[in-house]
Amino acid sequence: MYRDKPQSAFDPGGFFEFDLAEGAVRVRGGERVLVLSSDVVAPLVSAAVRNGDLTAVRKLGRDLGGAAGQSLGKPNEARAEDVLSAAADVLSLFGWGRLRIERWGDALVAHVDGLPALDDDHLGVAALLGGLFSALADREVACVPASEGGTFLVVDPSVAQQVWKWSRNGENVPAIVSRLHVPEEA
Amino acid sequence: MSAGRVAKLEALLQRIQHNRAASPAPQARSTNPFGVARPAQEDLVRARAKLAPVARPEADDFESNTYVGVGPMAAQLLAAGAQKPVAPTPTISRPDSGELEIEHTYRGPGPSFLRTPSSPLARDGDSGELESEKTYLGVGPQGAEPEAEISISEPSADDVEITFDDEGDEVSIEAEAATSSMEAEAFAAEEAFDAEEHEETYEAEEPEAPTAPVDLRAPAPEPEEEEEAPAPLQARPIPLASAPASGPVARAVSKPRRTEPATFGELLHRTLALRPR
Repeated sequence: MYRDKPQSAFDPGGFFEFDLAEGAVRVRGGERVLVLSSDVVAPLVSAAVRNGDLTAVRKLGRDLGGAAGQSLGKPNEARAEDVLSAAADVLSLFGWGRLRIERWGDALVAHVDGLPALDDDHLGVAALLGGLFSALADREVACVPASEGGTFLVVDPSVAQQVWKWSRNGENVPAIVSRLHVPEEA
Repeated sequence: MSAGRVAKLEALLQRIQHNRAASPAPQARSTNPFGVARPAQEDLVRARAKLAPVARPEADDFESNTYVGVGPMAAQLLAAGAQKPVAPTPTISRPDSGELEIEHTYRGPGPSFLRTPSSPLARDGDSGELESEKTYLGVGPQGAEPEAEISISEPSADDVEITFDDEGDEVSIEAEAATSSMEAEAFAAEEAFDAEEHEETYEAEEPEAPTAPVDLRAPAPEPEEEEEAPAPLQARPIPLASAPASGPVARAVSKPRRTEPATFGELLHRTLALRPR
């Protein structure tokens, strides 16, 4: 599957358009964005975590996924390497760290190196990644923080609460993956 | 001092005086035959060396084995009253009886060795009384064994002991003689059998006559023809026909079951299908 070195189809050149006359920053798709420091975003994310509503952060992730999928056509029919490479490039472009993907059997484990310190449990980044993969897969996807820092398990939203419990109990990624299986009817 | 010894001394003094008169003292020379001056001390040393006493045997005093110095210096010393040096007289002890006693102990390999007439041991008169004939350690009918040890020891000039010993059993002389005769008869019988049964006749084959005259001379070498220098080796390619490219040479008749997801949608579908056990 990973025989060839993936070539990302995402071109970061000219992705941001700074309109100084208008005083606006727009991305390639024309959507307006704000340039904020992590110190400003961190308390906002922490507040959203305490309130239990990370919809705004998830919405940001969907926007990033949409930006990555523009160069891929139909991401579900594209090679996984190309899709994941584009997602990693877009995430890096917005300053959310560098994304890596691992396969543990049928499970996918995302690693984000250099992620911003927004909240203690990295629930803000988890919501961002969930929105990103949901936009690419065109279906709802949840990312659950694991016990290891910067590690997230990509799961169906229906099992996200159970996986989160296992992770809060201190179980690492191999232990959680061993608790999961593909049902026969699936 | 006896009168004979005094007479010898007087005769010796006379000869010394005679020798001294015949050989005058050397004259010191200051030059050598090449005209090169040499020190007088060297001539003096040479003169003293010539005057040194030389020991020579006295002919009439040979029996006493006494050697007396007869040089001029000794004569002077004797004239001055010095005592004549006397060399130590060597002594040779001889047996008083003059008969050589030899004790022999024989442990010979067999009676033939002891009965050799020319052997001095047999002519000693004791051969008839040798106990070896009765007590020697026999070595079997075939003679001495290879591992038998023979040692001859001479503890002194007069005593000679010859010891022959081995680890075999003692065999009497009569038994050995009987066994030897039996073996000789058996050997003679075997030789006769071989001569009768396996007699072979060898006849010299006549050499075949040569069918062609043999020329001992080597044939004259034929004149060699001048050969042209060989051409240097060059690579000659072998033309190979190649099949025209007409399409795929293999056709897949079955495809293996795909186990790895090929697209991002398939990969994510398997991941989202995971459920708790």
